[in-house]
Amino acid sequence: MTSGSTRGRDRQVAAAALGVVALTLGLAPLGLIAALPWSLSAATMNVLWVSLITVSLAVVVAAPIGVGAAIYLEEYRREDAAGRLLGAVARLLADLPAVLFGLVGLELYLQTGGRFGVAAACLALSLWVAPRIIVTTRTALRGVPPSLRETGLALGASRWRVTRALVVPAAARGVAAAVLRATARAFGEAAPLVFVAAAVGRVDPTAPVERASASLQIFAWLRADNTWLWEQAAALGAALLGLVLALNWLAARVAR
Amino acid sequence: MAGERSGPDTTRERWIGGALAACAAVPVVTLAVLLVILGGGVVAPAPAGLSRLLAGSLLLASAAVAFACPIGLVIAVIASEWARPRRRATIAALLGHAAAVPAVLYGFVALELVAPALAGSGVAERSGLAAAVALAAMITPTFAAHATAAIRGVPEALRHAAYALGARRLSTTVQVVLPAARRGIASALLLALARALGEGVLVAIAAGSGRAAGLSLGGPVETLASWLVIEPSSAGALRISAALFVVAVVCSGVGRWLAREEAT
Repeated sequence: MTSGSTRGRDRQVAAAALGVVALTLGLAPLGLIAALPWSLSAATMNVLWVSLITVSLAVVVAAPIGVGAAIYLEEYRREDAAGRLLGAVARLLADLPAVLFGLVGLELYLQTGGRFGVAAACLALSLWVAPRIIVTTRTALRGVPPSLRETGLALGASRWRVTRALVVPAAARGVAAAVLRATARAFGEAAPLVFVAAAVGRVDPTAPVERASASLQIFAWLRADNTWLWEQAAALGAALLGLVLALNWLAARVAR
Repeated sequence: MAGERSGPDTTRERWIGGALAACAAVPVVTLAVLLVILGGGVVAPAPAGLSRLLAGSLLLASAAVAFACPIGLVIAVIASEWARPRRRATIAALLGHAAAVPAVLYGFVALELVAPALAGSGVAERSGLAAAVALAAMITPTFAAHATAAIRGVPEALRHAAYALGARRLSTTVQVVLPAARRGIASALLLALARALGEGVLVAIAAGSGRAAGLSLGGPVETLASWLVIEPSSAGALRISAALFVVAVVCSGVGRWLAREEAT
């Protein structure tokens, strides 16, 4: 080991360099979009605002459900066949392709007589986000030492009292980070909305579902062969990337 | 659970427990509704291109995993074995940020960076290869994070035993640690495959669509997911969705099953 230590360091430097290259590949959109000529037009700003509202609504619906389900699975049904099954279903949904959630949104849109386009899109997005929040929140709750729960229960506190007064405060940062991370993902995922957007678009092409998600709008603009729209997509993409990375960075800070 | 106490306190407890259970039931209801919808699609006649789309999905996803696997493994080995603890945390944080980059933007990268780079070697402007490279870039961070966790799970004693036998760090990693973590790595690969199979937006942007689409990486390629995001309102959408569901569930199911000891 002693004679190999300098060689080992060389190898480590080389390996670190390779790792940096790989990570740059991952973060390439940042540099790419910054290099393009872009400006935020009124249309782009509008999409940003609307998608901010839509995604916030979706998360406001999904976060309580996700956190509640995670609490139920970790605090009430740990080591329990029913709990394991429910957890497996949540993880299955978290792994499922995002497009498929659009089918549920589409069904709701059609069943309600086509009046709630944006609401159906929002619901599809929250159904997609909720399993992710469940999985990551469970990890956060699992980080709370069991002795804390046992102490509370031994003092005669009820399960909910222990959860509310001991477990949740101890895991609060992890839970907040889980929700923030899921919000960042929701901004970046267009696929759950395509079914509803297409169905609404057939009835009323000016309906705001496409504008309801920055990702979906970028997708639509990139598919159109139009230089101006292309530049708008780049501008919106830069704003979206900044937003997503800021949320993710915030989540990492909160979790620390 | 609430002990021997009675009165409003227990009633409240029961209500809260019920509300939490209802939250946990939401994924089950989602899955049930989805299965009912997809069940209707299985009955419908299969659209003509189903097998071609399935082949396209498998082609692009396996190409992407083939590109992502070596890079992801090297990152995972660095992040779990070779780097100093502080640097490990930095790599993990960077992987987390890279994994959060929206898929549409990877489609953008494929068109603006990858496709021009490939244009010299006779590859079409919208090609399966560009899509596979961008897909690989998209799945690498998540794959690397899963593989890092798998490698970290290898008992320290194995490494010490290898060192005691005089093995160097590289041979310890390659011959002892990686084989010991093979299940977790295989699981990470399958989950990455599932993710690549399910990504429609990126592929639709980068790999093109329409009549020119075939099964060659040099030209446009359509997949189940990319077809769904391009033509969501066409008649065969339910049948294609059902096929995508089955493929994705098999992939991620086997992946999760392989890693069952680590997960709860």
